[in-house]
Formats: sequence, structure tokens, C-alpha cells
Amino acid sequence: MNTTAPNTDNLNILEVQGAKVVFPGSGRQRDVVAVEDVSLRIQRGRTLGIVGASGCGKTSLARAIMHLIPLTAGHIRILGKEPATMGRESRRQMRRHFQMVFQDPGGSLDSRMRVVDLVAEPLKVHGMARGEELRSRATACLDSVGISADMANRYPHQFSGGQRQRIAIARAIVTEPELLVCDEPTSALDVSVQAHVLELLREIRSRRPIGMLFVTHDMGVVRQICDEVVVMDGGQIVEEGLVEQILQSPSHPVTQQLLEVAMAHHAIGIDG
Amino acid sequence: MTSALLEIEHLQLEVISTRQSVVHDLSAQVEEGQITALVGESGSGKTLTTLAAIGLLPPAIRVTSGSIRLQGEECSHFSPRQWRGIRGCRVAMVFQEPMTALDPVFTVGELFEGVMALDDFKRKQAREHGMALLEEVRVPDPKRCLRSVPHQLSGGMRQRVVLALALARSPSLLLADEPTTALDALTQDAVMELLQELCERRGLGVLLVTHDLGLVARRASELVVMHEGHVCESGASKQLMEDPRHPYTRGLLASQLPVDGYRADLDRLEGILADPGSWEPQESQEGPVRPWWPSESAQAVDKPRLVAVSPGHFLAV
Repeated sequence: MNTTAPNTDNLNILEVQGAKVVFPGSGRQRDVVAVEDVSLRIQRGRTLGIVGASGCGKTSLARAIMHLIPLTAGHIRILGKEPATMGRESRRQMRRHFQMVFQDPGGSLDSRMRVVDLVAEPLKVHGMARGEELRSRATACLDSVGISADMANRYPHQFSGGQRQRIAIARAIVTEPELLVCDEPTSALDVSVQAHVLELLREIRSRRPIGMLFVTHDMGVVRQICDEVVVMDGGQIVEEGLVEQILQSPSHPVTQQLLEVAMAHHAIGIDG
Repeated sequence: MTSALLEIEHLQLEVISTRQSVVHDLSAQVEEGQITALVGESGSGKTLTTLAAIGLLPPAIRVTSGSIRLQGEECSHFSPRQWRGIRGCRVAMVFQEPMTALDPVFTVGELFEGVMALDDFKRKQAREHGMALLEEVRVPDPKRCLRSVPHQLSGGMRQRVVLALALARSPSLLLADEPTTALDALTQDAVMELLQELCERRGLGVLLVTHDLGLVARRASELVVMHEGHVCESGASKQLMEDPRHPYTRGLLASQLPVDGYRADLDRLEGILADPGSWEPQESQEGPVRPWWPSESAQAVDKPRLVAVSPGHFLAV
């Protein structure tokens, strides 16, 4: 389903090795092990889905990959480098190569900034553009996700949920990252809006062979956007493989249940 | 005529300042032990309709005509004081976001104490009542749950707590506004199953608002599909699923993401809605009729009416 990139060596965009995330307890509360010994990799141009029920550790893993929460043990390498071992400045420079789209676009966009400034900010922070170029690149990026130039000066609250998620995606891709991490970017959206956002992400992928990590609990979404999938339960990977393979013969109960629910939803669907 | 738990008839809602009408001629009813689902995308007026049924419309919006009857009693013109008298004990509501619906500084036990104080329950009584309810909504360790503050609970548990609190004063009607949207697929299904079970066991009636037709189709007995404040199609769930007549309903159904194959064009609605002029006329009890759709130009004149396509199955034309 994906055209492989022309300039590809078999480079892993992302490589996670034995990742462990522990949230320390305080007082009488015990430590919570959110992610335990997880290893995975994403090659250029490929999309990996992480699925599981809530509390399975999928979001914690995504956040650890984004270096938003610290890893207790293990290694995360992005483009062959390990940001955790880098100095502050070089890690900051690395950051433009991995970006994230969050679940709730309302909460992840600063309500006091115009959307053009929201999208321009990563370029500014990473010194990738300034002055007029800054603005024109931000506007062009917004345009590429379907937000026209005449809307660029509005504030986030003046947009619908789907449009806001487009703006969040524009902000994430404006630095031309190699890795895009999406944490349930469509679960809060209407079905038709969800379809549009997924189509947009497919289009972004066809423009440039980036690696994508897609956190979701919806097997339908997995089928439509991912190449490979890992299923998590209790912080661990319980099943992994190619999407078609896993969906055809799921072996772990969690995978089976998730699939069953998704099938039941679609069973009522008709092919238009 | 048997009296349903909730009967909404020809309800009209409008924004007071601009006189813009936001819900037009909506009729729906909820029977004892059954789920009626209002289905539609953002801006369809489904949430406002439920808010009207519990007297929580925002101050900028009012009921202009139509009736809302709770167990036969007309309440569309209740005063805030009258609403307070029945809210919680006859009709209760579950909101979409369980985190914001629960006060973060109180333990679940204290929340139950607060609710049950209205019925003069003592502290201990209220907690025992809470324990029983948490068990009923299948919280695994109710005792521990009572001692927890909301952020210590998972999303699914929080929504169960919200549900238990809504049921605390034994309402006969429950309004649920996207109660599962914030939850994962497995929990969504579990919460829907629980709602269905509560209907059967308690004879509870549920008015459920959702944008996810796939989720409710199997659980609801009646469906009302809404778009921009108008009803597009309504009727028994089974009938609507087997023989959807409105292209919008069909589009919503077709937009469910399939798990059994890759699909290049994901948005099935856009194509269907692009050209309402080409929609085929549908057989109805009044002969062939063309399904209604809001025209972009003359909205004011273009009011749909509902025509029966078969007994109990209505289509907007």
C-alpha cells in the first residue's frame, strides 16, 4: 500500500530497545510499571500502529519515544542517534526530526496564538526560517493540510474539531520531521472528519517517506493506515506483525477482542 | 396511548438573540427499558435536545414550541426551581468527559454522600448505597473505589462512577451525551453493554447521544438520525439498519472503517452528499418522495417534513 522511498537504505527511523517506563509511587502508593521491556522499530516510509485497551501503556510508550517522559531503562534511537544521551543543545536540535500530534487538538493548541503563529513557532524555535519566509512557510504548510491563507490569522477556537486537528498536524510536519508520532488523533472526531484526517495523513506519507507511529484502539484505523502493528497489554507487547496477518489470524485475546468490537461496528456498515 | 418515559414532540429550539433556529420539529420518545439514540455529527443539535430534556439549556437558547413530556407531565416550560425538583431523582444525565464531570478534590465516597444528602441519607448509609451501586456498574473493587479521588481511576472506571452517581437517586430516565467517546474500543463496548443491562434490569429508559452509529446500532431500539437540527430519518433501529432510506444514514453507515480490507477513499459521506439532486426517490406511504437535504441557498423556505416509508419508519422529504 505504500510506495517505498526512492532514497532508502534500510535505515530504521526509530528503534526502541528494552524500553521500560516506571512512574514512581509516593507514600503508600506503589510504583506503576507502565511499559515493560518493549522493543520495536520503524523503517523509513512505514507506519507502525500501537493498539491496546486504555491503561496498556501505549500512550506512555509514545510519550517516552517523544522524550516527554523519561525512560527508566532501555534505549530509544531516532535516525540512529540516542537523544537521551545527548547534551541539551544537540537534543534540542534533534527534536525537529520527531514531532507529535496529540489526541485533543483543543488542548494542544495555545488558544491565545493565531494559527499561523502556532505553525510558525517550530520553525522559529529551530531557527529554520525568519521574517517573511517564516510566515510564508507556515501559510504554505497550513494550505497543504487544507487551511486556506485567509483563515491563517484566526485563533484556534474559531475552527471546528477536524480543522483544529489539521492545524495540529501542520504544526507537527512543518519542520519536515522523519518521525511523526500520532496519539489517537482521530478518536474525538466525527466519522467523516476522521476519514478526512486519515486521508490527510496518508497523503503526507505519500509526499515524503516518513516513519509514522500511530497509537489507537480502533482496529479499523489500524487497517486503513498502518503497515505493521504491535498489540500491547499490561505494558508489554503481546502480539506483533504485519497488519493483514494480525487482522486475519489474531492470536492474543486482547487482539481478538479489539477485532471483534471493530467487526461488530462494521458489520452494520454497507458498502456505499 | 401508552405513556412513554420521555416524549418529545415537534420540539423547536432557537438562539434567543438572533432568532436562529437550531433544532426544528424534533420528535423522539424513550420507552421503559429501552435505549433511543440521537445520532448525528457535530452541530446537529443532538446535545441541545438532551439538555432541553433535563432543563439545562444554555441561557442563550430557548424552547419556542413543541412539547417535552416526562412520564406524561409537560415540562418544557418548567421554572429552574421545578427542574431542580426532578433532576437527579426522575431524570439524570451522564456527560461525555468523566474527568470534568467528577469534582477532583472529593473521593468517590464523598461524592455519593453529597448526592444522597438530598434524600437525607446519613454518611454511612450513603456509602453503603454507593458500594451497592458501584457493584451494580461492575467496578471491580468498590471499597477501594470509594476511597479514591477521580484521577486515581482509569477512564472506564470514572465513567462507571459517573453512571453510578447518576443512578444514585433511582431516576427512571437517563440522558447520556456521548458517554463512551473518551473511552477505548473495549471499554466503549463494555459501557454500552452495561447501559443495555441496566435498561433490562431496572426498566431504565436511556436517551443516548452519539456520533458513532456503529456503536449504538446493535444496542438501541430506536434511532433518530439528525443533521443541522433536522431529523433526516427515524425509526426502529433494526429497520433503519436493514433498510436505510436516507443517503445521509447510508453515508454514516458506509463511513465505518472496515477491518477486512484497505480502502482508498475513506470518506464515503462526501461523495454521497456532493450531489443531493441525484438522489433517487424513495417509496413511501405517500408515493415516491425525494429525501430532504438542506440547500445552500434558500435555507429558510426549505423545511423538511417527515413521511412514513413504512409503519414507524420516517424519512425527511
